[in-house]
Amino acid sequence: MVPQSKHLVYLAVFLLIVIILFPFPAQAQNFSVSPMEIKIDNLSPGGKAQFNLTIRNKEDVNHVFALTTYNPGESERREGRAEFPDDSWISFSSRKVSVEANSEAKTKVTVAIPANQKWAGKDWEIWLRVCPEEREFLVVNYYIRLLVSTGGEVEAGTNVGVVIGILVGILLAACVVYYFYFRRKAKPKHPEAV
Amino acid sequence: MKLGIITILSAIILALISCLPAMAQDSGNITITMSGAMEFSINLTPANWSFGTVSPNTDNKTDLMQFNLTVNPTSNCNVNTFITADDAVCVYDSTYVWTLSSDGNNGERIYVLWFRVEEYPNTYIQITKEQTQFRSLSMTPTESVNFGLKLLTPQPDFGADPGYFSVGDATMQTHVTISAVAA
Repeated sequence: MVPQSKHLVYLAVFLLIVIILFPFPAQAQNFSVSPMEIKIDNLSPGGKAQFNLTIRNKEDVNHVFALTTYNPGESERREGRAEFPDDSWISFSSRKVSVEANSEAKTKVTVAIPANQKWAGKDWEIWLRVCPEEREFLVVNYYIRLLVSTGGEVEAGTNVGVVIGILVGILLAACVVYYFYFRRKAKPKHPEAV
Repeated sequence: MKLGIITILSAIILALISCLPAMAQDSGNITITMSGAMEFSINLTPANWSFGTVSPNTDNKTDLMQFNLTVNPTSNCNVNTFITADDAVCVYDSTYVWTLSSDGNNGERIYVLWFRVEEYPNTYIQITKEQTQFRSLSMTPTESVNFGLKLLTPQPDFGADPGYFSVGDATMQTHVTISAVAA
């Protein structure tokens, strides 16, 4: 019984030495993003589109990631795509995303094109950059391609208020007509004075 | 009375019919297509590296196989890769900075960085603050590349204040960033 336990102790010490002598090389921020590419078609000037980005933290410690935009050079863009005119048209639900160890977090991205006919019928490209806040010597950054094509017509904006206003106006007009025309017509005439 | 109610209802229905196209305009036909929903990642090893003690105006090379970049096997498309670096800042005194050279020449407080990949072991490509292509071709999932770095330290700054090359013990820190985008 005793020799067996001795062997176990020797094995444990041997394994410990191997682990100490051959440490696993650390990776530079092990994380991933998805999707890789987002294509928005027929987004009319005056309209907006929203989508989610997912960041997965594959490490055993929490990390904070910064989200920014980047305008790539012509050679780096897809064929036929022009530079995105104004990166302020792109907003993130949060510019910094904290992702717990071995978990994922989503952030909402909104693309809003101003209501101007000159932005109709365009094909643009911009990249969304995801980079870790804590940086070591080697740093990994990810870019997500965002391809935006605008529609041909300027969107009129939110018309619900106008529609409700018209309906209320028509209802009021109908009430007035009803009151002054039908009610008065139905009213009994005053009895003539005796 | 009945005629009045019918008139009001007719007016509302007419108004609704005329407004329907205006309401429909809000919901448009925007198409959002997302590619690569599975994964998108690269691995860089090792994360940290030290050139050790360096002297002014000298070349310091890492081994060609010192660093490795691998496209994660679960990535479902090819990736284009880029490399950039930052100015080097003294860990103990953030006012003491080595500027990263943009023309390949070093100077007082100007340092130069290059990289080389294992396919072209004799070709060093300069790293600047502007993005440079890391691989000329896109990388496929599971593809791996080893690479090394070369550092040319600044000219001596013995006369400057502070001139850390004269007193030594200044630990300079910089970052080399490798970026990936769907090809």
